[in-house]
Amino acid sequence: MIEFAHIVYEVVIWLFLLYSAAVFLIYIWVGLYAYGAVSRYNHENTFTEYNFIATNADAPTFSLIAPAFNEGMTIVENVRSLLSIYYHNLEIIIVNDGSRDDSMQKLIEAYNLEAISFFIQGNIKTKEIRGIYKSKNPAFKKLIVVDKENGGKADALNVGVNISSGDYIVCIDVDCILEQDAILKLAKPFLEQTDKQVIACGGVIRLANNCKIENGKVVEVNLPKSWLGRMQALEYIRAFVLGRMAWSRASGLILISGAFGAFDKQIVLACGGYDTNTVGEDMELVVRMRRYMEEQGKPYEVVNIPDPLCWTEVPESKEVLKKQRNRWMRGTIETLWKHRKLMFNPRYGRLGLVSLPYWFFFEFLGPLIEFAGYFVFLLFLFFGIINWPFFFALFALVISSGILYSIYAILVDLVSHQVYSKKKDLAKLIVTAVLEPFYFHPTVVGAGVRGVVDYFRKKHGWGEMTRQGFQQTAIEEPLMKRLGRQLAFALKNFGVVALVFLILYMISVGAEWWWYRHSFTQLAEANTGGQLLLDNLYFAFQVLLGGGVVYMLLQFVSRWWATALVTFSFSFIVIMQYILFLYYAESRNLLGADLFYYNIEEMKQILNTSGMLSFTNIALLTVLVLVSYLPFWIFSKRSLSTIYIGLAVLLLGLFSSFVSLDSFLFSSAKGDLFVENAGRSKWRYFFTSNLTNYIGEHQAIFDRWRDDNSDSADHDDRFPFLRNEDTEDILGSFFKKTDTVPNLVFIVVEGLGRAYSSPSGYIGNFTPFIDSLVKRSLHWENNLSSSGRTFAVLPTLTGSLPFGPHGFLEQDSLPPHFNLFNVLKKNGFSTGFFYGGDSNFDYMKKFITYSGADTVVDQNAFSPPYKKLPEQGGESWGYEDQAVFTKFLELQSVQQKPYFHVVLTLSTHNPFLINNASYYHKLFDQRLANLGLPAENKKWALENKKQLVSVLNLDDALRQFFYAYQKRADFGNTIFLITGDHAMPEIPLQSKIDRYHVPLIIYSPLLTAPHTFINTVSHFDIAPTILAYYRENFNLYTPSQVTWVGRGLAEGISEKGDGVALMQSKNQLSDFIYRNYHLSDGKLYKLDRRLNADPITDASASELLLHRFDAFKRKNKLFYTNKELLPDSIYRGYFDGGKP
Amino acid sequence: MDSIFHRVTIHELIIAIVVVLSLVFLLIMLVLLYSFYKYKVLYQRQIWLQESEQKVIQAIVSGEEISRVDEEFITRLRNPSFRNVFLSVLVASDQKFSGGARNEVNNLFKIYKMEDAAWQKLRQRKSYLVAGGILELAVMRVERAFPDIASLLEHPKRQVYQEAQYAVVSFKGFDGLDFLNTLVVPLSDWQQLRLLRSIGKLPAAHEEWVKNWLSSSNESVIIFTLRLIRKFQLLPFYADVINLFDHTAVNVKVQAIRTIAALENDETVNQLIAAFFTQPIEAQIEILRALKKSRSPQSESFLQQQLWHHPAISIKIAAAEVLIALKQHGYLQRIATDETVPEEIKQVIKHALQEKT
Repeated sequence: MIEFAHIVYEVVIWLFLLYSAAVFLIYIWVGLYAYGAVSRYNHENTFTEYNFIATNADAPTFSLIAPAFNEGMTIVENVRSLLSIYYHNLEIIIVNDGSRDDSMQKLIEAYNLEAISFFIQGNIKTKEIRGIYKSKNPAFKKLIVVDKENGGKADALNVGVNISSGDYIVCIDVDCILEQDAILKLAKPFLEQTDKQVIACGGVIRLANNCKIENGKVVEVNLPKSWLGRMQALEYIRAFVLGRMAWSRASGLILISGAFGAFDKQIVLACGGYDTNTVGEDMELVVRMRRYMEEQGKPYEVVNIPDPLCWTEVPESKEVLKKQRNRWMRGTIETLWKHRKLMFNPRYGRLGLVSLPYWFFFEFLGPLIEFAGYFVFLLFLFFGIINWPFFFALFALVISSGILYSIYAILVDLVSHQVYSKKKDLAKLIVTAVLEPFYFHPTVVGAGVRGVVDYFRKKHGWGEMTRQGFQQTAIEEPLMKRLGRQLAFALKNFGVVALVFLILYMISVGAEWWWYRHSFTQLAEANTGGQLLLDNLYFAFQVLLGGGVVYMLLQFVSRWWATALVTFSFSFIVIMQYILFLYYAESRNLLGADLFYYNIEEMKQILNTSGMLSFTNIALLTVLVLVSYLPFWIFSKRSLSTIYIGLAVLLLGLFSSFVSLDSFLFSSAKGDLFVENAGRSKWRYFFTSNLTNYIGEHQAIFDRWRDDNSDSADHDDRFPFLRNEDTEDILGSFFKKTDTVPNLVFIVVEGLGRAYSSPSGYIGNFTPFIDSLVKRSLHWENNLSSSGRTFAVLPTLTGSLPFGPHGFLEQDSLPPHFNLFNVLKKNGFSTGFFYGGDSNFDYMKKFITYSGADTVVDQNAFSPPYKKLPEQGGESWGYEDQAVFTKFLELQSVQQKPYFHVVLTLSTHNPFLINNASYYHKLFDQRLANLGLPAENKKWALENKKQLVSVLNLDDALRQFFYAYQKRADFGNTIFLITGDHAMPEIPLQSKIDRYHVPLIIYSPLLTAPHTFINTVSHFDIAPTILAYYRENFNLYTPSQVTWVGRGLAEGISEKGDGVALMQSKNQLSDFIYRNYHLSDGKLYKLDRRLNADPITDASASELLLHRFDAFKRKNKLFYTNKELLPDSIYRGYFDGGKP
Repeated sequence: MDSIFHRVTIHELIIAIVVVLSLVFLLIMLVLLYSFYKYKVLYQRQIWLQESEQKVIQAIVSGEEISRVDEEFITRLRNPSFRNVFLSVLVASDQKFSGGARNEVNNLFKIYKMEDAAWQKLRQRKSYLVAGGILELAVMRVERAFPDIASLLEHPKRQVYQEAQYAVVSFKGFDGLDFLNTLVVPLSDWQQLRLLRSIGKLPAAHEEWVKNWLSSSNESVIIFTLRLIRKFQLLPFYADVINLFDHTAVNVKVQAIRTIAALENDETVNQLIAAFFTQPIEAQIEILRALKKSRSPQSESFLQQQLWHHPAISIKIAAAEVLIALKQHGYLQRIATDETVPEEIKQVIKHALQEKT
């Protein structure tokens, strides 16, 4: 997880850097290229005579179209200004777009207009035209005024296009002031076209704010008074003189400003005119015209000329500016979305390969990425993980690059056009350039981001909004029809949410697979990616079915609640998916319902000690929550135009619920369990595990539900585990005869699997001391622990006890039973439990206390100089194994009375941090060199170095312990039993049985000869055998009726027994061993003499094991529902009575 | 954060960023300094412009008196920047004025030996300078420069050969159009209009060239020639122009029709009507425009037929407009009030009736 956080952190920073570098390079290119374009234009036109065109009958006709909406205050003056434009073949079309003021009246009066009948030839669909007017005065014969219903700017322009008779149309905002020679200059590129058709031409727009205007002409140019105005003046210079000139030269221009641009009318008509459904109609039209030309395969050009031809008022209030930028951003998105087909499409040449991608990545994504940058910065700041030198350097670079670009733009403008030629104005512009990045730029970025949000939440777009107001019409409709409408509407809404969920969920699955491949070489080679994808896809559709049904029903009650519920649950599922797979990668365990068997304190401890609660992780989690929720929030207000997607999702959900996935999966039974589990959907496992668990806990309800008689068979048998004690003593013959009752010490090593503690283990032997002991011990090669985690080791090892619902110790109160502690104590032993961590963990203390142990040592008993294990995330699991062993020797002095102690070690627990790590790393390297492992094993060993180093440390601690013990008088009369509680799931498991395969060694100076046993035994067999040994050889008093699950080491898991159930985690009772078969999660494996598992299909064996497993489960259930293992009389009888 | 990225690369990154940052700062300084310098230059240029304009106006107003050479001005003209400004003012003035004033401007060229500056430009490598030199020499009417300029007609740069074309025409008039015989690249409308403007009269022996151009494979040459025929009313080419009705390019057809309308004779109306049905819509509209211009009653029934039966609205409208030009108001109004007539035709007529001409 920590590494994952690092990588995400680095990827984020690198992406930002790369993006910034790209922006930097593009601006350099724009700057240089534009300079060339501007100079070339100026050189070519130094001596150009424009005037002869103005009166030439052969010159093309231009139709100037100016839409006006509520411009009554200025319209008469504005039209007068337009009428004074110097060009003969010109018609001026003023389109009154349904103004609510007196615009029309004023125009009629001022220009002596009369309504005429006019046949409109253009075929673009528009709002209704109320009337067309021309002047009675021949002086104004160029003027046409159209009065129409309000329909927006694009609609008004379309009316103008329909009416116009010119070869070219010039679209302007009516409040613009055009230079006298504006049309002449615009006409030149059209007249100069030869091999390439010029389809559109734009000129430079300048700010009229604060300029002196007389008779509709700009007579004195000044910079705006406000800073906001000046910053826009600067921005316009950058955009028109640099940006558009560069793109024009590169034949990549896709934006001619709506305030002033000329277009080839035939092409505009062929394309269908302006799009009235977008707020960015100017850009959209140019893209559509270019698209049309590309599709027709005709060579064409879109030109921008650097002459300042048009003057316009810009907003000097921040609010209006924000609205304007918001609209521009929405326009950009709408255009990009509408023409998405062109993106990266080589058929559309530069338009598809350069221009549109540029607009997508830099004009659209730019503000978003910048905004995300601010956000990430705040996050880093909050968590204090900013590298300040790096930040300041980068910040200074970004700001100064912006300033450089602005100043450069001022220079180019100065050299070429001298619009702002006053010294004072130039100085102000330079100051503006310095201030702009701090004030104006963030405002524009903010407005852009707001525009994106607005676009996705409200206006047009993905799947065309169809808001149906069925509420209004609902009253008159018949019920069925109304229901149908509402369901259809709900399906459209759900479709969007479902798509968002599918995309986000599958992205998370992609991340999961990438992460596995990145972190584990064995997964990089494994071919389970497809399986992971399929399983998750199946799960996603099942979730969608569930969510969909709930949504459909709930929306009849309240649409808001229905949407809120599905969006929250879906984003929760996405977030959990990340957590689940990271948990798996970290612990190599599937997370199931066991999550809920830890209380909050324990959970906190686990999280702390594993280093999960770092700032980086919390920051990442915050980001994850945002990223997983925002898309739902944005899209939940929208709906698709069709019900079919929603319907298809639900049908696929049904399909996935009824058609088993197994039929699609390639056989994955063979091989590594870790790899196999990596290919499973972590969510499905988590979900099923919790569901099964819930059903288990509420069995009564489900039973009643199912069948009343099903459970009656065993009603009479209240104590299913109770039997007569008949365990055979196999130990006696290996020990010297002695009169003194030997001491007994159990050393239970955390996570000691056989794979890495035995020369024949598939990883290698990393416990040289234990191995040396084996050669002098009784040794069971094929021994199984009863559980995949620590929670069951104490009850199994010392009491051969069943599991109960979630482990024996999880029960509210422990039912009376026999175990080594209380039985040996009854026989005069001192008993004790030694542990370096918190003995409350997994309720171990409850068990020890119940058993009446004399000594309980846990972390509270230690103080310096005993060393704790190194901390991670501010927490340590407790004291190192060396400390525990030393403490043991310190507290247990040589005594007359025999003693029985259990020592549980800790150092080999995740996160595998040890003191003096460098020494053991060296030891590891030496060990690896000496072992001469095959390449495969060596690779595995290196991959799990951290774990194996901690094992070496434990082994060394044990060596020191025995060394010290040997010097004591009681050593010669002590029996040591060493075993593991389970194998580490963090080290790859070849098959599922390996999780339970742990060494079992009984060593004592009393042994007469070592011996290796190869029968399969389990931890359940130990307590009975130990007691049998003491009973038979030292005449200890043991109960005559017992509830041992195991049959003793002599028998182990044999034909005669009932088989043994193994519990993987607190909620997962899914493994059963009988004879040489292993049934795991419904799959059957055959075990060989070394407990290697081979998947087989054998219906009868399966049936047999299932039957036995069920029998065990029934017995187990009976015990925990009755909350008693044996009759009170037997228990009391044993403890209250004496030896008969 | 002790990954490789943080231990090593971030340090390097910071160094890299600081290096770029210093570069950016340096550039900011350079750009600022250059801007100040440019501002000064431009400011100076502004003063020179005013001085030059003053000089020109003085010369025009006081006429011959200027023969006294301003020695001080000559000294200052040694500054190449000032010389360029003065030259540009002279060229602009020459283009602006005519007659005596223009002669005075030309006189200034000679007095101050601006020719040398123009010649120098002609030998430059940058095409805009060469083009500027051509223009200046042409405006100054330096006949000696003709061969040099003519050789630039084949220059690969558009700006240069266009300026050369303009120059040879302004030197030689129609004879300067020699280059059209071999012209392969298209002649833009802009250039055509510019050239046309510079041709004041036609020599007697023009026929061969014009005929030749009309059959040129370069469409723009044909169109230019048609414009030339229109401008000079070259009636002998009537038949050749009619032949161009069958040219493949729509633009040529349209220009040909326009030209025929300008050369109109008794046959024209019938010929236009005869050609009408085989033409594309753009050419048909041009034919109707021609009919409107000729106002011949011969076309009446043809126009009525188009108004009623032509599928294209634009043709109907154009036909109605011609009928109005033919004073057929009565006929049209009758139709407009007839209830049996389709609404579309009524609207077309109403549109046409109110058309102001």
